[in-house]
Amino acid sequence: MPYFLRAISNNTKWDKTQFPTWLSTDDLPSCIVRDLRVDDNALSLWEIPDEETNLPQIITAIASTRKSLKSDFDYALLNTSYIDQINFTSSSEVGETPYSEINSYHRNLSNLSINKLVYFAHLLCKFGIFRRMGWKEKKTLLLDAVKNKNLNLKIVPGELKQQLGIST
Amino acid sequence: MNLKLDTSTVDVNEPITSIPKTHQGYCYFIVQDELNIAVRPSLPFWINEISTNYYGLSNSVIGSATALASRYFEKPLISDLSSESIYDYLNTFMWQRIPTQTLTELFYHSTISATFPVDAVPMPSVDDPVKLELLDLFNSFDDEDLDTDIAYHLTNALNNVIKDNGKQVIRIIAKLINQHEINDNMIYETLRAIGRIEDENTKIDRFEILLGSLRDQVAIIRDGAISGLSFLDDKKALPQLRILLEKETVPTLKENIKVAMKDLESG
Repeated sequence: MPYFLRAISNNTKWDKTQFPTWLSTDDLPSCIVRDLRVDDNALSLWEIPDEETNLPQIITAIASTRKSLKSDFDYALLNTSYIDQINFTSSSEVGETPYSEINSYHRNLSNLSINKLVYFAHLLCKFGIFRRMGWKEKKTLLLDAVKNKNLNLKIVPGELKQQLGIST
Repeated sequence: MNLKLDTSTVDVNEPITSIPKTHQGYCYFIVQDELNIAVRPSLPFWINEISTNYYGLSNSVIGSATALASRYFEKPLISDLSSESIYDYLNTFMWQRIPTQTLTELFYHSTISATFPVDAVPMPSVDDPVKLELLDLFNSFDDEDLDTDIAYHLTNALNNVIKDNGKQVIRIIAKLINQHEINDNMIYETLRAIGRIEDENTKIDRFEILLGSLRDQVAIIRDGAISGLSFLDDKKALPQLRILLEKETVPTLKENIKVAMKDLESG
């Protein structure tokens, strides 16, 4: 089964061994809500086939929207079957990153109520695969994408272009 | 690993009493290309402290440490090992900050102590203007949702304070972190920012703060230090990261250490 990717700020916050001791069993710390910020009641996700063939491109696409080069890229993968089994509304909505070829993999988890969002958080915490890509690997991906003319440099943040040594 | 001590030069059982009292006790090995040794009681040196206060040498982490060492060791103390092996070994000592009373202990003991280098620095007064400026800066970012773009601006803001006020800023930041005067999330972001800053003048000092924070009790602070060292991009961090990888109990952090090491090893 394919996965949904959600970019998160820090994978350590999702590590159950680090949850506060005051938290009751099966509850989640509210600080992780920060990683599930919604826009117009929709959560932004990216679809990854189970072979993860487009994972580097999707990370490149998201990273190309950010200003800082020296940042790790933390993300979580959740098998799409967990979303399909329950009453979530998943819809295609073309992404707005500089990597136009990859934007078609963008999905929205829409019509999200608070309860559904919390349920999603539980799913992600319980079944998610949490990973980090280091900044140098990310830099290599970005430079490759620039070299192969995959990125629309007009909408790549100027700060990032400067750190990548791109003059355009 | 066993180090061979050159006993023809020194009496290895002699208490290190002729070193000034303020420099007896714990060992601290300066990170530098040439290995030298400095000691002080219970607290290690700040590199700035050695260069500015102790021997008053202007350049001189290396010079001052050498001077202290050379009082005892007229020829190399350690032999029969490659420089790389000695470097790794001494890095382990630096990490563990092992108390010693004699030269024998200095090289063969197993007691472990942990102190943070900034303890050697007097705390700035409550109304120190630079400290207040830093606290204002941290407060202004504290209300923000610190996504990667906001963190980028925090890095620039810190960089500007350092440019305006010099190395003392690094000491104050180290104190704020060590004494947890700012919250854990802000410490995490600050450590990452410390790694991002491009400033050779303060690189060693920033490296020290990051190394010290690898031993923090709070996982997210250790994570900030791990990332910061990766961003600082100095292979000298690898021995400490290897040690942390062995000791770390948080599964996610173990993976994050591997990521940072991979970044550092990739050149």
